[in-house]
Amino acid sequence: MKVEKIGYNTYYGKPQQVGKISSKIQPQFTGQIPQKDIIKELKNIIPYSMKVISRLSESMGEVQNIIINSLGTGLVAPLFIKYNPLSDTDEDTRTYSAWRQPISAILAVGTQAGMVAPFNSIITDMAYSGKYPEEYNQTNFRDEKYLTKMIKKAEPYLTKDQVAKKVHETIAAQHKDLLNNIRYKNRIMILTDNGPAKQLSAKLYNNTLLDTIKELIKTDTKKQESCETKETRRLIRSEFLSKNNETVKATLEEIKHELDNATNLNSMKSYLTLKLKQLKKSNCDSNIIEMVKELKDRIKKINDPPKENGKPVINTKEIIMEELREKTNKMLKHTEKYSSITDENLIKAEVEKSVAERKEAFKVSLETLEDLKKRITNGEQISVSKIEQLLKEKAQGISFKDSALHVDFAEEMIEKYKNNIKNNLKGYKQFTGLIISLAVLPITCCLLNWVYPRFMDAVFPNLSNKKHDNESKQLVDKAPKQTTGGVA
Amino acid sequence: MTKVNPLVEYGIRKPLVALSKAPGMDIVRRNFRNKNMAFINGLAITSIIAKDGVGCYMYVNQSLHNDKIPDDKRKFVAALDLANGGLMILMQILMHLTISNKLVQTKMFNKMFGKNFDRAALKTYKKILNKREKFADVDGKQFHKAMDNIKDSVNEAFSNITSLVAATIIGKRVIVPFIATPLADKTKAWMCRNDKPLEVDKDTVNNYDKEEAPAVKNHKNEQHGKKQSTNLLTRLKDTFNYN
Repeated sequence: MKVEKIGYNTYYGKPQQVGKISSKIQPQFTGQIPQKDIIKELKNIIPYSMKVISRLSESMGEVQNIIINSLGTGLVAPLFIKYNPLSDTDEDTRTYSAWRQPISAILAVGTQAGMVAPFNSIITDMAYSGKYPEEYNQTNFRDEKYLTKMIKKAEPYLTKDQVAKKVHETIAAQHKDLLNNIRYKNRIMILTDNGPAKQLSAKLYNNTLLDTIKELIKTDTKKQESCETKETRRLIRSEFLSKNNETVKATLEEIKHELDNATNLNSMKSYLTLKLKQLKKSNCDSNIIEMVKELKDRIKKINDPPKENGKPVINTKEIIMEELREKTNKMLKHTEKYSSITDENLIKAEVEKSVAERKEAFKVSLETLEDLKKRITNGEQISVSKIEQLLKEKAQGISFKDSALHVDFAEEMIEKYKNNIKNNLKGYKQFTGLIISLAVLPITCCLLNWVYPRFMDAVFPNLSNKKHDNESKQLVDKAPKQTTGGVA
Repeated sequence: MTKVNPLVEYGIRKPLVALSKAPGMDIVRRNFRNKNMAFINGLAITSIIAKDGVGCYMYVNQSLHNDKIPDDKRKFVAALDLANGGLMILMQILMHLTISNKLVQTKMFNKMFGKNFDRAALKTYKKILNKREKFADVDGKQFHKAMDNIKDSVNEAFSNITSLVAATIIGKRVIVPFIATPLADKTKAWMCRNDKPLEVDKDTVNNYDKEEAPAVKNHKNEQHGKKQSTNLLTRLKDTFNYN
């Protein structure tokens, strides 16, 4: 695809001059680790199957549909056609038909996926360069790959390191510009194909603002519900600890002793598995079984993060052992606490106290967000800075930090805006893929119709006409005539 | 400014932009934004079903008129295409409706990945993450947000893959052929219902045994220790050699 305009930097009305980085553009250092870095690190340690599936989600679309469909066509279908015991048709015909499936699969991948994949790249490039309507405009989220391509094209004399530096600076600058525009100017600026930067329509801006609030409501509602469950579970556990204090303490002490003497994580896992079996066998209370299971479940199959300079950066097994020790100590402390509290009302009061602050935080946060949602829906213009100010005021005196009261609202809005555009494009790509592959289908069919018999003639002449052609004359010559009988 | 090839501009870019504004695209966008998995998976299955429908029509039509396919196999190949096409569409809709169901999806996801997202697992992951110098200060909020992101992406891909595998591999390629091949026999018979009998050369006499079915005859021949091919011509050749 040809590049019409070099405009990898942001909203100064005109493209940035080649080779110059504006002095205004500096990476933003807020001290917080970027979310994508945390996700990347977590993907290094989660089980491999999850990592693979998570990666697949980034590329799900029409191409993957074609590939999965073709895997079934090419590998599974032939077996079920050839070895179908229910069919009366002779084996040769079934084999002949079965061979059409893998050929059809290869042609489908070659023609359909072969057409859809380049179109997907064209769509991505067009979205990054602002050629689409605003719902698909990704000029605020140009990624490393696109920027590298643009910078290399604009400034071919830059070294690899210089290009990488400039890419990172541009990414930081586009984020900073977007953040400032949202926080202080209540607008989002986008680059368009041929004109200067323009403001995102009021409708789309307000929808994004509303979507952000709805998302926060959804998250906090979920957390509030889990808080209720947590309270009920804590109450049950605390009452159990109060009534069976000695038994629990003895079991936990035993586990602690074992942990202190354990040589490795595997031996600890075997011990806890055995312990669970024993407890189940002796019909122990489900609460104590659950406690031991909580410990055992902490032993997961974790991948080690990639080595640095050939040396492992951390020892995950040791960390899991440490976590096991800490959790056991915490459980023992909890048990100790309820050895002296036996009154049911006191236990209830203690549990309520433990979750009171988080319950209050979610209550305030949900009330505030619902009110904001109502006001914006009714057409009131509320700026992002005003929302941030309101959340800050409401958060005063609440030390529990895991509710929407403590979020960076402008950052949340950027995240929502980015995801909305990304998902709009995903849907559009899938729809376009459908149309393209349907358009290519007649070509696939004609190609199959042409290739299939020729392939069979060349590779399996005994199954196709070739053999018949060669042998038909011999057979006719051999066929019994009028006097001796013949063949029709 | 680099001049853009008018073929690319008017043949690719402009139609793509027009398509992005097409009526109905707002529905697609809304459902993708809200991660409505039933809709997303449904669109994927619709794409495959639409292609199967068009493909079925074309394959049947082409197979029937393809002189390169032997006469005796042509109608069976076409019948197999027709039976396959119809059943595939039905089976894929059925599989999609069952596998993409939210309840089924949740159950399957929890069974396969639930353990990796439970409280104990999250505690372990966070502990390990915080041990890395760079991530030592990552708090619960940041950690849970990242894990939610991973869970969402795993869930999305899992839902999409299971739906596609159930419809296109199990439904379409395992169940359908079992029903389609015998059905193709019937479809072929239906297609041949108006065919004229083969014209027999006046010098040739039909030696088809009306008294004994070919299958019984085959069985008897096998009893004689002679393995018979199911290919008509090979069998005829064997017969002549035998005579």
